[in-house]
Amino acid sequence: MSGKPLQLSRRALIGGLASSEGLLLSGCADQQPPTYGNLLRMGDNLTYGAQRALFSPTALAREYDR
Amino acid sequence: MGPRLTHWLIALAVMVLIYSGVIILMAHPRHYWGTAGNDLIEPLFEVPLGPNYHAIGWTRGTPFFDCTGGPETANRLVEPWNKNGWARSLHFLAAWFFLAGLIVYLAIGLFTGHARKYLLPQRSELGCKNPWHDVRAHLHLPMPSADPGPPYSILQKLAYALVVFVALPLTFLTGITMSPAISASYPILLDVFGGTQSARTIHFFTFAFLAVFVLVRLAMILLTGPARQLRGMILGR
Repeated sequence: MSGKPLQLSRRALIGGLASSEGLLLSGCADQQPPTYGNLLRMGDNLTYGAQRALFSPTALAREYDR
Repeated sequence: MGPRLTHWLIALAVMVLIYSGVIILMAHPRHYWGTAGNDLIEPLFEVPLGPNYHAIGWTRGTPFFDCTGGPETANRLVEPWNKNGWARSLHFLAAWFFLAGLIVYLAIGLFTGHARKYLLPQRSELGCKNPWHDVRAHLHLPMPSADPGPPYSILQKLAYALVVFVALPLTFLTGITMSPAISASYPILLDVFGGTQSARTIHFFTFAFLAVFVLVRLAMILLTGPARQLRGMILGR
């Protein structure tokens, strides 16, 4: 056991994620959560769809110092 | 026709947005400035609203064993009231109608000359005398009788222009700045408003301004012949 705790930075994860990205994306395509006829859920799906259509799927939230 | 239709679309959407927004605010009535805000950060101010107002507290540690002085679990923040998921969904649904109405209204206003003709104050109206005279006229009852629709007085023009060109777009921009998905793609929004929490606080102030505007406007309609004014707002004559 090394003394250094396991630390994965987000940047380090990108490489690992990139390899599985194709798999994940193909699984997520055209998948919308069920609405059960609920108007609010339909609105949510509209928002989900618009976000996926308009914004980059690889954009990362800003990082902050502690 | 176009401005009236979009006016009512935006008015209805804003009513729903105010209603659902207040419910959302109830879950966390504290406001912060900057990039971070949570129960452990000193708030800028706290709106006295809902069960979570001044409700930050700590749970007692639970002892692991049946004896005093033994190890205990760590303290935790008390569970807040947090049942506003439906209000968020309603807020976003109404925001779509609001956005559609605002875009169409601004397009009509800017490209057909509607805004320049009716809303933008003329240079001659902005002299010292005219606004002051209008303010004084509004402080006395009975209200100066106004025919429905344009031409508007200087105070009306300033209020409407401020709402249409400043408050409504600013509400929209600060609203989307709070979305992590959008601010990730457009971090410039965070730079412009100084962080998510600043955007949320500005969002609250634009809401407060719009709420006051709606109340004053309704009062003016009531004081200057509501039936006649409403007919003008709906039918345009």
